[in-house]
Amino acid sequence: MSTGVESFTELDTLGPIYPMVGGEGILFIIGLALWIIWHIWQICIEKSEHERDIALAKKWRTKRVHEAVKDD
Amino acid sequence: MTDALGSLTVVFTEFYYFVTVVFMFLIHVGFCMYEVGASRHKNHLHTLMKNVMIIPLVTITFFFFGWWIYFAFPYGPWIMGDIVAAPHAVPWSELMGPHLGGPPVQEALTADDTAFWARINGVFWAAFLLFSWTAASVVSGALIERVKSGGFWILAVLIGSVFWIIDAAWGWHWDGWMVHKLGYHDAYASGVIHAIAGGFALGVLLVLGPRIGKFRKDGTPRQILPQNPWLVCIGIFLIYTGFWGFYAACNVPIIDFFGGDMLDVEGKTLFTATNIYLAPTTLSAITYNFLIALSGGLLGGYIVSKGDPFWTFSGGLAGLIAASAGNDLYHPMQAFIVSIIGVFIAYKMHHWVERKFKLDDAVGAVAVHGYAGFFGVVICGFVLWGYPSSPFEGYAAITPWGQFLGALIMFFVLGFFPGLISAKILNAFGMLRIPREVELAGLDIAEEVAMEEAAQDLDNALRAEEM
Repeated sequence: MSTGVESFTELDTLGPIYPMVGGEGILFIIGLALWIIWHIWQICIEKSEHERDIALAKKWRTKRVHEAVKDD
Repeated sequence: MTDALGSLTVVFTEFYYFVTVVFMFLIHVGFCMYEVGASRHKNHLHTLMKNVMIIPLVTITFFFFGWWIYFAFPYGPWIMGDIVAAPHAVPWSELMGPHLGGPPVQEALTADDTAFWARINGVFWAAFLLFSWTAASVVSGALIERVKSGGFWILAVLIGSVFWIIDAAWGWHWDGWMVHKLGYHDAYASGVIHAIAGGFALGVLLVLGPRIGKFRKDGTPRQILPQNPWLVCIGIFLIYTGFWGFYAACNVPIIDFFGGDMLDVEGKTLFTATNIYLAPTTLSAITYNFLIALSGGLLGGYIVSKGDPFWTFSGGLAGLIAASAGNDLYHPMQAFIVSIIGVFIAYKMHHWVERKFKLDDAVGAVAVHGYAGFFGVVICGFVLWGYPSSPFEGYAAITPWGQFLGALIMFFVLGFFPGLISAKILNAFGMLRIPREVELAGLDIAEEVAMEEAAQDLDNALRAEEM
């Protein structure tokens, strides 16, 4: 089984040397899909981070208010 | 050096390796920043010294015996043949010093030896030396905050000037037995540097034990936070920069593929860059694949760690390492996919091993280098299945089983077991772990006390003057 080049001895006749020449279109589509999926996934991650941050900020503000009141 | 083309080829090659050495220096600046940033402040100076002293120790030992091992051990020895004579690489060779290529003074050398090696030996030795430093630095990060410097420096010499260079003789040499028999292919050192260093670190970690307080009584890990996360990430950024030099140094810049030293085909000439196995590649190929694999690693690292800066940056490195074995030949999109998968594996394995085995790998070195490197070697066997491992006749082709066996040799035979045994020996002599009191107070306690006393002394003197 070979995914590509089987010999380098005729180097002067070799062109593309990556595996599965002819599959560039599919590879492009996979790459494009991974890129777009990444954006979607990242947006979801960031949304849940902000929800967590809001909850923390509320707790932290409340704690600070309590401490400010105690100092008074 | 009498014909113009030959001279230009030699001088270009000399300059090329020289420049890669300069670039690779940045890897070590990066490692210093990374480790110092990852350690707590009470340990930061000793962490810096532990890492930087790798440089002189591995340099002199690589001069003494490391370089000779590379040329002497490609057949095992006693796996495929005997020790190979390497008179240009022994430390007392006239070619291990300034030489203009004229007839040799020493009997062990021939005129062809001096003509070939005079201008190349130093820069080629230096390029490999920088890889040696890298192998030792990888191990250094995993052990921070509790390893004795003296013990670690012995380990650094072992991984940097002995075990990695044996693996290079076997699997990163155009005539290495692993290339002949297994078709082993590892163009940019996923296995020969990264998997072996990660495996070695794992072996040492099992003996060294975790930092005090790393694991709760119920066995769950605590986070021991870096003193300076920004410094850690910029350190990794510098490692990426130096890695360009690493990639370039893994190639032979220019060779006549059909010339007498190569396929020796009469009437044909074709100059090309090659990988370390003397099979053709181009700088363009590795430029595409370096950048795309780094991108895949960063994108994958961001997702798997949910945007954690340390693991995103580490992911970039892990992705690059995962794709490195086949990056001379992969299509960029193949490198992209391999790098993303590599990061996921490295991240998940790191946390699983930490929980399951109570392993405290302070910077994720075993994961980023060891697991990603192992995966990189194995996946290469599938993606490049059937490719020739060499341009010469009689070599095995690249196969999944050849690569898997190669990965086992790199990670376990030359990495993990030597690390484990060396650490056990050092531990038996009390040379591995710092005393508990020092670990709790901090390795820099003497420096911190000295600084406070000096400040107090100055303060007292200034007050006395005022009065």
